Amino acid sequence: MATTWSSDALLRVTMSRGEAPGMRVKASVGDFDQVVLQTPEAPAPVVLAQGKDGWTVSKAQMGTGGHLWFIATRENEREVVRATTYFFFPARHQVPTEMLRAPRGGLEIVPLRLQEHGGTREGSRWRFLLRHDNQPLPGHLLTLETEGGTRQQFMADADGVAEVSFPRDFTSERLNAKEGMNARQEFVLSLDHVSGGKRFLTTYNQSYNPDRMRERSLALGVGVFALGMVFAVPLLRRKEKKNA
Amino acid sequence: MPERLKQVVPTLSRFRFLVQLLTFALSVYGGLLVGSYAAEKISTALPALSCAYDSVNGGYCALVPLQHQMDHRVGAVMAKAQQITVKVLIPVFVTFSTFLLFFFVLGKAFCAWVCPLGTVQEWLFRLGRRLGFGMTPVPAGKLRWLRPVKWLVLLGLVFVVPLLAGLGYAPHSAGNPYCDICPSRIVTTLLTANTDELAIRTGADGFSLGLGIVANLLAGFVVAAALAVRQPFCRICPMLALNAVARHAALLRLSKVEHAKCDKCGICTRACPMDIPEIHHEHGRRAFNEDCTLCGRCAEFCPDDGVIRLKFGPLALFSSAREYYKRRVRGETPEGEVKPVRIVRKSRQEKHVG
Ligand code: SF4
Ligand code: SF4
Ligand code: SF4
Repeated sequence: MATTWSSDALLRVTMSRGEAPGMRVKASVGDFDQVVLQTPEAPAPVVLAQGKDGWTVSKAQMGTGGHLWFIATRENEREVVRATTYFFFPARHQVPTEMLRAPRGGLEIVPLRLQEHGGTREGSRWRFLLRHDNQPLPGHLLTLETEGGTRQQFMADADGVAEVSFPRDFTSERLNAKEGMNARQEFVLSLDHVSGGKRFLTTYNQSYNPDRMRERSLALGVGVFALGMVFAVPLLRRKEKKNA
Repeated sequence: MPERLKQVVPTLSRFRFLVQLLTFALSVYGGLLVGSYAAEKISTALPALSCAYDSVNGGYCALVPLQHQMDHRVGAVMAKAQQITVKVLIPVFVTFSTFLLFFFVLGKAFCAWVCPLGTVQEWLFRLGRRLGFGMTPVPAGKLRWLRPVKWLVLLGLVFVVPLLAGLGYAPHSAGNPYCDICPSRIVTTLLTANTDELAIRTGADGFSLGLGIVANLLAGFVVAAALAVRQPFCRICPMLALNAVARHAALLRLSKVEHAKCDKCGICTRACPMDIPEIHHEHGRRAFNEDCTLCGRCAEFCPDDGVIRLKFGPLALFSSAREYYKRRVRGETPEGEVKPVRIVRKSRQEKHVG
């Protein structure tokens, strides 16, 4: 399903449980020539089979779990469009740093850390390396668009690393939904670059959650903590001086 | 070189302090020190209470997956099929067997050597000494009703309530009730300057609010009480109970032989941060109590040769000895009171003269 808040293609990964375990990858708009999957356990790109309803990941390709990195590509003489996303499911897994940083070529948004366990919340900051043909792109602009309606740009530092800070833009409908603090909104990061007369467009999309402080009170927390300390006061006596 | 080593690590307690410093840094600040992924690797190898809520740490508490598996996996499937299948039990058992594997090697030593909350409580108690608070021991009579509490917490909050939540008999927010009241969650995150966990969930359901209030009361109580009571939270900690299950099978363990002088002595219990009377009154298996954290203080302060030992398999790693004891009590009382060094020297000289 196309999105109203971004014109970029978003990759959406769903896991099917039950009868035939596996995953399905769909693109929100446009078609891609191919979709590949990389995992830290099997870093060599695996080309996914295309069905009538997107691309499928078999149980064997899913591996043991952890970090799954998907890259969809479409190319013609004028432009190269690449959409990336990642999927996490908790299981015994290897560290993905090496797999992510491995040279791939083309225009890339490389997360320096993947957002497992719902760590991407409003207000949190995440760092991404921007590179083209494995060369960092200092000073380049990374554009963030969110389902909450934010559009913001972040500039890469001298090492080509852009730090993205997630806006507080959850809509009230989302927050009032049953999921509460587990509500999700999608975001997409996009990077545009022209090289050798060709336009490169790369995106990375995933989701983020509301700031947990939205439903918490620090004042109450501090007060109750202090009350707990007061309850312990009867245990605190001054040391008696021993006579001798 | 061995002389240098003796200066840096003159006692077992000092050695333990250094190990705690290292494990504390790793479990609370691990993410900053070694990078988040490496930290995560290390922490998945540790059994628990390196809180998973702490975003910079390397910590990953094994009580999290235990509660989750009870909630999501066992609960949900039991509700559907009304029976526990092998498919369901195996993942639960994997978490559990990682514990056991850990315990078969390190045994109960997790508590006194690794757990960050144990370390914080110990340091607070030392601070209490500096601030001049008297020590409040937990008498044997109180221990009798306090000891079952940790088993109830383990059974109730780690196993039963999450299971009921999975089955739909308890609110969904009861999925990991132990984490919701765990003081380690609040204390270790506060130590990384993160106040999210100290804040109470007022916008969620009443159940979460209630647990939040209990959690903060408990954490506040523990922090203040630790100034006068040794290891106040440990007394009801579910990890202490979980560790106790396999303690006799573990390689690292405490051993005590029967000794005629014990009757009139009891220094070991005075030195014990868990106030365990059994280390004084019993011997053999029964002296290695369910509450023991394998800190080794009893062995350090036992004034007789070879009565209490810290053993790894058949190997005695540390053995009580009169000479060591004499040296040890010069610096510190069994209760942990630090002695002013000058006076001790004087009395020694007096002894030599007289
Ligand atoms: S009893 Fe619990 S809190 Fe205390 S040291 Fe052991 S695991 Fe940590
Ligand atoms: S019995 Fe000994 S080793 Fe165990 S907690 Fe007490 S002092 Fe430490
Ligand atoms: S300190 Fe040693 S001699 Fe004294 S009661 Fe304990 S085990 Fe026996």
